[in-house]
Amino acid sequence: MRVRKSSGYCQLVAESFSAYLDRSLPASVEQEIAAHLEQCPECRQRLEGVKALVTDLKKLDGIEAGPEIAWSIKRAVRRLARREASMPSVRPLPFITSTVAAAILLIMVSMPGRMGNSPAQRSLSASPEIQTAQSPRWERYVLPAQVGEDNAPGLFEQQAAAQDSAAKREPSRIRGARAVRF
Amino acid sequence: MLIVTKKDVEQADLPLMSDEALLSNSLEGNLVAFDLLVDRYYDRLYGYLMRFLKDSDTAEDLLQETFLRVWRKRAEFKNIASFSTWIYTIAGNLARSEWRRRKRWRMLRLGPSRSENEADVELPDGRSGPDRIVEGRMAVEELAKELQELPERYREVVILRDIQEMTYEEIAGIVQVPVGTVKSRLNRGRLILQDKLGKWHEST
Repeated sequence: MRVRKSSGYCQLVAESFSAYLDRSLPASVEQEIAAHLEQCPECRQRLEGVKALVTDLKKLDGIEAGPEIAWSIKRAVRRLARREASMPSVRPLPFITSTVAAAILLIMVSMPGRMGNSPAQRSLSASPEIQTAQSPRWERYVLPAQVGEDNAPGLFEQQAAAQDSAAKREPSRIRGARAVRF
Repeated sequence: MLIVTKKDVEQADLPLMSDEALLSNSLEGNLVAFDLLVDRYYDRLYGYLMRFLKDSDTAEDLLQETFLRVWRKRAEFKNIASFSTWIYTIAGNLARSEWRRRKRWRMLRLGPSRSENEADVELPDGRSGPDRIVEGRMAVEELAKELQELPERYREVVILRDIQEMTYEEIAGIVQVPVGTVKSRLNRGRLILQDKLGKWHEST
């Protein structure tokens, strides 16, 4: 067998060292490398160095964690397990939140132009003198308790007034509603 | 009279169970089964993390975080890989993230330094040779230090193969690269180490 010897070939041989040591190369390649190693002291020396290195690396496997580390891990896992057990299931929460948000959005959209959003508007309509049946509907539900029921129109009075005005427009549909007035 | 319940018998069988069976037991909240998994792996994983990061405090933190993640994700474990591969993958990912975070931090503090690729092609320096041959513990520490300076993609396969003695297939699963890549990285890592330690490196 002709033995090839060049720095490029030596590099190629070096790249096969691990496979050569594992005996995982095809037989023909293994023979070729063996023949090269016989002729090339540098490669032989390098391979011996790799063998020695692998032996030495095994000596690094002596690190011990100590039982106290295992105990601290077990304690941490128990804390986590307790926390998980005490926590209510959080899965339905996003669904509920999004449903509530969608409902609020729907209410807001169904009342276009009737929402006084600025703080100034809110404070104006909150004052008992100015508060009328024209106040935004959501404030009529909130404000009576804050400004005093004597001055503010009552909730049911407002509902009745709204139904009266609606009945004038559509008497047939609202008649049933008037029957349940307080 | 001693009464042995079914539960006692099941608990007594736990040490004989496979890792996967213990994990399955822990799904029902069995902490004793999970403790056994901790006992089986904490030492090996600690060695792996220590060799990877060379910092006992960080290794301890990451070790704990590894087991906490295993507990949290235990329902997601699929028997495609072995439990061993799975837990090493989690620990390896944590170690790599920590290593990269440190590297970024070092670069921020010290400015750009040589890249890992530059280290790949670095030739043995003037320190190589018989002068660097030291005996006993010193040699092991020297080796540990050089191992620490290997680029991470070589370091992890050298640790898993030459220190932890895993198979190529296991390492491929942990590092998530093909077996052929594992073999070439291992060979390259060994050659870099050997070159750094000197041509005359001999087993001590």
